[in-house]
Amino acid sequence: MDAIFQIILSGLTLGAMYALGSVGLALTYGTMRMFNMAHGVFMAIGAYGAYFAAEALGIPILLALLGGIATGGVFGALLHLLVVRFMLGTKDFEINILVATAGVGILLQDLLLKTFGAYPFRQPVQMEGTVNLAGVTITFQSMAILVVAFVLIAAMAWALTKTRFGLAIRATAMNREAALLMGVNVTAIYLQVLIIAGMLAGAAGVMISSLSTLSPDMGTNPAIRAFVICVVAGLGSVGGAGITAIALGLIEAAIQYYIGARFGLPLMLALVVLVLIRRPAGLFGREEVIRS
Amino acid sequence: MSDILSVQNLRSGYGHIRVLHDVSFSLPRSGVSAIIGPNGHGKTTLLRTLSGLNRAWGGDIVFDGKKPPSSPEARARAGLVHVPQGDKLFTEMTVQENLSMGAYSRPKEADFKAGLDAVFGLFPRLAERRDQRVSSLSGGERRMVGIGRGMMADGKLLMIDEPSLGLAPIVIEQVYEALAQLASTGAAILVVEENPSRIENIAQRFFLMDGGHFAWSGDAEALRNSSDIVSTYLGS
Repeated sequence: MDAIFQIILSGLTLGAMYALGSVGLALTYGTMRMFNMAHGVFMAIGAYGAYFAAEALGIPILLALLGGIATGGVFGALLHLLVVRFMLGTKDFEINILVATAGVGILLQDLLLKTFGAYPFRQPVQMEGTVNLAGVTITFQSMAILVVAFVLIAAMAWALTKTRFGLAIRATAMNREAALLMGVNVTAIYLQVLIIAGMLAGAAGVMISSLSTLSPDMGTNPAIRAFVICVVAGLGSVGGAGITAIALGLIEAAIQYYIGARFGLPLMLALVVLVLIRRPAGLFGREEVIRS
Repeated sequence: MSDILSVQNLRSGYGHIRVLHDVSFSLPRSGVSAIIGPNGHGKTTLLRTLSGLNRAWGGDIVFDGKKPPSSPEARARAGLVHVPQGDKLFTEMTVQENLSMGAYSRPKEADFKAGLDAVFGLFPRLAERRDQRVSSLSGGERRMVGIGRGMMADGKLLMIDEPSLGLAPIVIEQVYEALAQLASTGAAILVVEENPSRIENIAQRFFLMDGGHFAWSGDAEALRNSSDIVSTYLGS
């Protein structure tokens, strides 16, 4: 019985991190038809940002966390201003931006390596200690991950559904041309979306590094998972990505406990293949229907 | 007062193919004008060029006494409202959210609630369905959302592209009844319509588009007296 609770708890923690990592990616694809291959590096950048703020500048960890999130947002903005802006609306944008962001990712990862080295630093932005609740051991850090993920994702969901700004983002995602006719500055929307995605990736990076260590390529595996989650959820479905992330986190935790840790990722991927055979458009995606 | 829209020698097209050849016309600040003519002769391209979705290759546009900004979003904010062909609604949003998006560029001083009341007054069906997703509506209801969304901008000129496209005859009648009501408020409206008989009782001015320029124009009286010209182009 205790094992079940332990599995649910670690599954939720995993799922919360996956959700943080994938909703930004889903939002970017849903709004701009852009797969950001540098998404994983944005996670590492957020993690190093928080590390730098806490270690070198001695800022309290809560502020350092915000610093890491802000660093992710800044790099999201830079990606738009220096690269994406010039490629929007060009022929074969979806493929070109894939290649361009992959290049940006390699560049940024090497810059991280040059600046911080390959030493696996410990992430100082984390909480120590555990608490024992009804026989289940819970680390403060996994509670912190759950809280941070919940707060950030709830804030994003609120902004997307309840504010004028969020309405404009959703409108742009559904029909770019109609959004223009409504007076929406679509270029500014794209900038804002990349900032939001960068911030969420930064937060995910801080959380991921708190469970292992910092390294310039720490975002690679989480980014692969985030891509898988977006494809399973249905490309561009933001809510679907959040739900799929939690579900896959729980499934992976159960597999790791009952079958073995090394089977976690392969079995999860096998499950994904099965889902996609049954529903090629993803769990929450829709087959495109052309209708005038 | 000057005209709301004045166009001189407007040229535009797609790729290397020129569609509009030196289109010139002007519209007063109130009343309904109609662009009629067969399909594939540039009516939609004209509206898209006016709203900035298509780039003008040459010629001059004067809107509300000024040269309008070049981007479509800035033109919408300036009050040049385009209800596009085929509605282009935000299908995963509710009716009310679509109307809110229509009000995105509504002038700050204009009352949002009053705009909503005007739309629901014209299309009571939308008031019943305000919380439904647009993807669940019928074709006629979608068209109402499209026109209502355009009304919400509270612009200076409302351009509506083929409000009858793809609708059943009885629904077309309802849509045109609503347009007649809207016209009675004195708004400036430009309607594109293939079939002049649908709009001849509503519009005051008619422009016949043929081969990318206006082959004929005149008022309702002239349209009735020139049935031979119109039937030559439209074959009716």
